[in-house]
Amino acid sequence: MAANKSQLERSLETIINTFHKYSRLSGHPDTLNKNEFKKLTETELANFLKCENRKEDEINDIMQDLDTNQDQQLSFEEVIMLFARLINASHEKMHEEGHHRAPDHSHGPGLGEGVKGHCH
Amino acid sequence: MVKSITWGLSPVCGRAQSTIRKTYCAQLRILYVVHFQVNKPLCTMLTELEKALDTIIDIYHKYSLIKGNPHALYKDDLKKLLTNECPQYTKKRNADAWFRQLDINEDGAVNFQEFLVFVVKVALKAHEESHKH
Repeated sequence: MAANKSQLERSLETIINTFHKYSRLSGHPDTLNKNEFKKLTETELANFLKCENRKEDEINDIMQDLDTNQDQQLSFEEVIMLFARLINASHEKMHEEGHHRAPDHSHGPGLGEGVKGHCH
Repeated sequence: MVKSITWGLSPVCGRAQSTIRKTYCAQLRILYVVHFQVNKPLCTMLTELEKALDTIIDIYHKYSLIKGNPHALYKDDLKKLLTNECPQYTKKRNADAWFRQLDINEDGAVNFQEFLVFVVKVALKAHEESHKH
């Protein structure tokens, strides 16, 4: 089963497992409270959210922004919007500094990859 | 620099030449090693989650670069993506229906942002499935 999973399925599995790793820590097992969200961003998004990590205010801001039903908890439905934005931001970053979108498509480093080239 | 020394020296200095060459090669090797080591940690620094997020970009381009605009998935490209990447989540709806839904601006192609809408939808289904097991 695991062997014939597609690249997309494996990526989604990592995303879902990472969410559950923190959501089950305390309280409701399928939502993130503020502490769990903070731990997730600090540990699992250490490079993608580097600047924001240093300020607790900004993490709170991101959480408030994602918490569309305002229950002080983030469901998977709410957190996936952050992930989608980060994928978009990383893709934007890959097209900076002369890495054209078209016609000669190329990618530079994405979010958190430093200045040294695209390598995944 | 190395060239002028090579031509200007007598055979007695052949050993010096080769020393220079060896030093030069050694320096190149050091440069290479430094370059490699500087690169490597930067690449491996990404967490598993971050790598998974970047992989989504690779998946899009696997199909969007097949033809035409590099940031456009045409209907047949989307069909290939659906068949190869997530057949179980797209069984209920055929590629035409997906295409109509995802091509929000109706320009005949799924761009990167429109593709992310699809990823969110599939991720929600996959999350739902994860609780059934």
